[in-house]
Amino acid sequence: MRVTENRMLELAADQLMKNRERVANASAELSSGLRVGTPSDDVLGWSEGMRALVADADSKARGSTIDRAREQLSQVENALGDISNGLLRARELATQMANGTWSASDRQSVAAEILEIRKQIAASASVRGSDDEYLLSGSLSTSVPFDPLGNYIGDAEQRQIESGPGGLVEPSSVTAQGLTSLTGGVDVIPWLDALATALQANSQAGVQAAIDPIAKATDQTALLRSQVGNYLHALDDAQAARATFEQNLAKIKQRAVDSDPVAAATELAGSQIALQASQAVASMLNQLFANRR
Amino acid sequence: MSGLFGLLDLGSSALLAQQAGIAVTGRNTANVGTEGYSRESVDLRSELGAPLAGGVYAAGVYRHESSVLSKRERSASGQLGYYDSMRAALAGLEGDLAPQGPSLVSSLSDLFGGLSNLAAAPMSDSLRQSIVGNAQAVVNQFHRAAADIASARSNADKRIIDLTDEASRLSQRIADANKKLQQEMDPTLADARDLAAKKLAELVGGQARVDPDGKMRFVASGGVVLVDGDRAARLVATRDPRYGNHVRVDVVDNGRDSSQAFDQSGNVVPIGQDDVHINEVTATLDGGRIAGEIRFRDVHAAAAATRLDQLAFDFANRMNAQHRAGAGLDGVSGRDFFVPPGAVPGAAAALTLDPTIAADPSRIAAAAAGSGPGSSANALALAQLKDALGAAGNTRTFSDEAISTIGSVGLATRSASDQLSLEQARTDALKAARDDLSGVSTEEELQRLAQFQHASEAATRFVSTVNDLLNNLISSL
Repeated sequence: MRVTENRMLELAADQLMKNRERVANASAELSSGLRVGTPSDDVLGWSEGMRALVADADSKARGSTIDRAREQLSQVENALGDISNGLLRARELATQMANGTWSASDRQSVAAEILEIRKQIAASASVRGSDDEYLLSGSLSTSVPFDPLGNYIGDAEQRQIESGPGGLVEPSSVTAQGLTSLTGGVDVIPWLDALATALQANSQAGVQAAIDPIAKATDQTALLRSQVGNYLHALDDAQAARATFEQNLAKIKQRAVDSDPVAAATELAGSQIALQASQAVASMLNQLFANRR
Repeated sequence: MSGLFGLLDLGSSALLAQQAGIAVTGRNTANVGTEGYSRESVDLRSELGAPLAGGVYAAGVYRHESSVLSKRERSASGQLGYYDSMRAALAGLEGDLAPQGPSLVSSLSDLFGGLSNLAAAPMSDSLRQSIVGNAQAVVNQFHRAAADIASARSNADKRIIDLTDEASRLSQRIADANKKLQQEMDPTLADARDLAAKKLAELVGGQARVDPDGKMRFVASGGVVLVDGDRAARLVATRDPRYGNHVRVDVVDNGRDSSQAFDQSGNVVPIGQDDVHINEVTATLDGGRIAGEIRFRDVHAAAAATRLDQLAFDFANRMNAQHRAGAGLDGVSGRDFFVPPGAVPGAAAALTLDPTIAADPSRIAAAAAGSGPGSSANALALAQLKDALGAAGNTRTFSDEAISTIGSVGLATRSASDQLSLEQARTDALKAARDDLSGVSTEEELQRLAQFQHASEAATRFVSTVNDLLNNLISSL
């Protein structure tokens, strides 16, 4: 087969160009860390990588949402703790004052303390979040949960947030309905009012009648607190699961689109050697034909 | 038996023959770098004559070329041009639709993420503002993608216009060469005609043949004649509302300006006494760069535009339906989130965030209808639309459909690249075959030059010897 000088030079130039392109591609892969930079590099890999990125972004958004919900629930948990402490003190005082040995003035001073406890419980129930919304009022979060008479004026709506992929949700709020008879318990604040009134009236029978409801109120508060605790626990579990999920996503992305640094470095070294060889060949051919001329 | 004068004739014929050989060798060497040049050889033949008579003459010059090889080269050239132009256009579009930074896919994620956050804190002004920003980013990304596709199609039109002009010039060049070759057979002109045919095939596909009368006839892919003897048709690209105001390609015979050849309805109008023959070839060309650009424009880019518009349409409608079911902080429900798209075509470019939402984020319907402002049930429902199978005929999520749309452009790019590699390998093999047959090797030419030189020196010596003999004879008389 005849191979002319032009053909030899053309082949050398072609090979030089191909090796330059190979070096450029290898450099780009090593410096970017990406084996698949565009869809045409590997359509399936690129698509899988994109879906992993989308899932990761969704997961991070969920993480931020869970953190917000956690913060709100923690505030509610603290508030319920204060309410619980107040009710325990009120119960203790009621039990004491149910004894007939106390005088009217003793009962008067205890009534004042009960009213102070009632005021603190109402304030705790009006706990507000970072956006100034009342966290125990349900969806009517621009208003306090209890009116001046201690009647619940919020609603029963609980919030839910996404806690995991595929539509998983968890409750992220409770309402102060749990502190009322609407859920089968007792109306906490009105019973504190009743206790204070009985104490002010020096009515031993009235005080005795308030002991059981106050005890029930304590139990209700504990139950509500337990519910909040369960929600917080579930959100903690969701965060832990999210961390594992994101690690798995990182592995999927790595497998789909990321470059193997060792393989990329090897390819770069190999392509550079090939480029040097083709440069040497081109130079040699140029010299050979120049000498002949 | 010839005399001394006969011997002189013999010597001079040898000199002329060797000079012809030197001239051909010189021409080959001079054209070593000329594209499309086929090396030539002189055809030396013995003259008929009685014993001790006769000589040599140069019967002619012949080109080392093969019509079969030329045909295969034109065919390969058409395919190479087709896949090269399509690959380049697709790669450009792929780069626009799949940038390294923020993209349609990431902006959709951000919007749904913002809505998810709002489900935990529906009263938050900053989260609502952020959602408006995210929604605007989605709108911008749809606009950008639609504009990128439109721009790619428009650029394809520009390239088609340039390529049709070039194809017309090449057709005319072949026709002119046909005419000149009838007057005088010039191998260089034949080479130039072959090269023009190969370049024309690269643009329009098709094939050429040289008829027994020596004229080349060129037929574009799809069967339309571009060159017939010394007549050349023109390719004309004209904007046509039937193609969405993109260009169609016509083959116009008789050399008339096509703008004069149509009435407003696009019908052929006879001019003077000659009819203009028009053949629309937009859909029938299936080889060459022009066909590659048309296929990119009308198949791949058009499909991407359609899918993008459908996605925007489905996304906006689905978001609106869910948004209308909820209420803003003011308790009002029934509001749209996006301006409702009128139709699927153009939905991506026309997508707009509802101005009342953009102006007042408190109207984002996070709450369930009938609930208080602290409700976030609808924000959760809106966020969960990211998992809804609301795109591609309710078979994919919106993000998946965006990924699939961009991926389809990538797949087409990869397919075109693979085909291009095959065609390049085929073209390389044909180049090697052409070089083997028709290429000029300066080494060979220098050897031939030396041969002709020696032969010429020998002939000169012979003539000189005969001359001396004659002189001796004359002087002795």
